Amino acid sequence: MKSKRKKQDVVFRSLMIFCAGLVIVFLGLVLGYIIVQGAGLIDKHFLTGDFDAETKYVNIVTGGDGLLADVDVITYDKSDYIAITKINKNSPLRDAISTDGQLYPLRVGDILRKIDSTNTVDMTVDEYQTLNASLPDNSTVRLKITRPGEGIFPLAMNTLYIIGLSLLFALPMAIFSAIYLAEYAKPGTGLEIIRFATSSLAGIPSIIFGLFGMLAFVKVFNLGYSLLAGALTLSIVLLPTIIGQTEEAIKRVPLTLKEGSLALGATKLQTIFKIMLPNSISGILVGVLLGVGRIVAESAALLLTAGTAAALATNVYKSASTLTVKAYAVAKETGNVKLASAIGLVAIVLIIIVNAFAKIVERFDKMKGKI
Amino acid sequence: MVKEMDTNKKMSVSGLNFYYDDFLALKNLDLEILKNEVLAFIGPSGCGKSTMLRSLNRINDLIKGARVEGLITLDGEDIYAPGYDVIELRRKVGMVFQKPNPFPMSIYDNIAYGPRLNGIRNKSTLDGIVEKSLKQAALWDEVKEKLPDNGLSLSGGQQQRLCIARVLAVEPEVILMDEPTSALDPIATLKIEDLIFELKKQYTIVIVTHNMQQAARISDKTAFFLLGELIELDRTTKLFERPRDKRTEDYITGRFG
Repeated sequence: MKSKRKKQDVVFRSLMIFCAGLVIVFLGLVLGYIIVQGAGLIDKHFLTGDFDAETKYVNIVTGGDGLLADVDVITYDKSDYIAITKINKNSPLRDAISTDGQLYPLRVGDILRKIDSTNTVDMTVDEYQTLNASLPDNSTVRLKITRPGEGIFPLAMNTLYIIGLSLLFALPMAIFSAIYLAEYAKPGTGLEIIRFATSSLAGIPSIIFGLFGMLAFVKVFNLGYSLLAGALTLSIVLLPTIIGQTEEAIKRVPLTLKEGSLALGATKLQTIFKIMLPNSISGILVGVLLGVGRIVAESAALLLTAGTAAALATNVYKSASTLTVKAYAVAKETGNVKLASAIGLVAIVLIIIVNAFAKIVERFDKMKGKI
Repeated sequence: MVKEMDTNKKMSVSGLNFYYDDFLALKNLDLEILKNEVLAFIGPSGCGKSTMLRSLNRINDLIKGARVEGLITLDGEDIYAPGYDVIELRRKVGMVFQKPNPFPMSIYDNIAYGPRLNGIRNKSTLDGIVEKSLKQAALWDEVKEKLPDNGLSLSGGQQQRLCIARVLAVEPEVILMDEPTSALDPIATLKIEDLIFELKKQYTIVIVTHNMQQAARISDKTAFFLLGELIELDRTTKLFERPRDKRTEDYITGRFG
C-alpha cells in the first residue's frame, strides 16, 4: 500500500516537472527563434533609419579627386550595386543637392545606382575606381542614389504616438469611471452590470475592437486609416485595464484617511481629489503600464484602423503603422521573416521593459502599504 | 428652529435611537454637552459609546445602513435636519481618531489641509496657522525644523498630536476624540492627556476611552454606556466615588468589562 502511494507520488511529480519543463522549452524556442532570425538585422541603421527606401537624383560638384568615398558591392532588390562604405571628410558627396534644390548629404549605406549616365548594376569595385578616376574635375556630376529602408525609427515613433494619444483619451475617462464605481455607485444590480461589462470588455478579442473602430472611426466619422482612428480604438481597449486597476487602488486607500479628511470639513469631491486619487497613483500607474504593454503588443485592432503606412505620421490623420503591425504586415505580405522577427524582437524588449516597470511600481506600492 | 436659552449648553441629544440596518445600537438616549467641559464616554466594547461620538459630527453617515431617529443639536440647531450643512458641522465639530491617521504628506501640508479646504491660500496666513496649531498641540518644538518631512515619519504619539493640531487648525468649537491614546505608549498617552487639559480652556471636548483611570484623570463629567443605553451621567468624581446605579458600580470596580 505504502509503496503504491509512493509510486503515485513519484509519477505525478515527474509529470509536473516534465510539463513545467516543456513550457520553459516552448517559451525558449519561440524567443530563441525570434532572436536567431532577427538579431542579425539589428544595428544602428535598423534602429534609426527610415522604413521605406528612397530613390533620388542628386547633383554634386567634384573637386580634383572624384567622389572621395570607399565603396563595396552589395545586393539590393536582387541585383548587385555599388554602395558607399566610407565618406572622406572633404568628399563632395557631403554637399549633394537633390534635384528639388534641397541639401541631401549622402550617408554610408546609400547605393550609387547611376553615376552621370553610367549604370552601376553588376559593376566591380575596380570598374568603379576607373570610372571615378575618369570623372571631370570641378564640374557638376548627377548621381542616382537609393537610400535603403528597413529601419524602424518611424515605426517606433508611431508606436509612441499611438501610446500617447490613446492614453490621452482613455485616462480621464477611465479615472472618472473608476471614481464613480468605487465611490458613488450604489451597490446593487446596476453596479454589478457595469462591473460585468468592464470585465467582459477586457476579454473581447481585439479584432472585434478593430472591426468596430473600422466601422465607427474610419468609416462613419470618416477619419480614414489614421493615427487618430487607431488611438481612439485602442483607448477603448485600454479602458477595462485602467478602470480595474484604478478602482482597486482607490478602494485600497485606508478608510481612516477618508474619514480624517471628511472630519476636517472636506467635501466628498475634495476628499477624492486631495486624498483618494493621490494615494492611488501607483495603482493608476500600473494600469497605464499594463495598457502600454497592450498597445505595443496590439496588431489586429490597429491593422484595421491605423493602417500599415511605415512613414512617420506627421499629423493625426495620417496612416501610421506601429512596430507590431509592421511585423505582421511584413511577414504576411513579403514573407520577410527575418525582418518581421527583428521588428518583433524590438517590440518584445519594449514589452519586457514596460512590464518590469509595472512590477517595480507594484512592489514599491506593497512595501509602502506595510509601513 | 428655536435657539436654546441656556447659553452654556453646546450640544444636546434627546430621544436618540441609532440603527445599523435593523440593529438598534443606541436606545432612546438623552445627554447634554456643556461648553468648555470634558465629557468622557466609558463602557465595555460594543456598548455604543463610539457610535454616540461619531453621531455628533455625522461621520457615521459614511456607514451604509446607518440611520438616526431623535434629535441632536449644536447651538440649538438640529444637525440632522434636512438641508443642514454637514461640511460646516464637521468644521465646527472636529474629530481625532483612535489610530493616528496623518495624511501621507508633509507635516506642514497636514496642518494646512483644513484651512486650504476653506480657501485660505496666502502663504504667510498658512504659516501662521501651522505654527499656532502646532504650538497649541505642544508639537511645535519637536517638528519646527522639519515641517517639510512626511507626517508618517513621526512617532505614534507625535502623529496623534499632529492630528490634533490638524483639527485645531480649522478652529473648531467642539473636539471629539475616539480613544485617542489606545494605540500609544504610556509616555505619549500622558502628553496627550496634558494637552487635553490645556485645550479644555478653549474647547468643548468629548472623549471616548477604554481606560477608566484616564476618564477619572481628565474629564469633568463621565457617561457610562451599556448595551446601547446611557446608564449614568454625572460629575466624574461623583460617578467614580458614589455611582447611583449598580451596573455602573460593577463596571468601575472591575466586575465586568
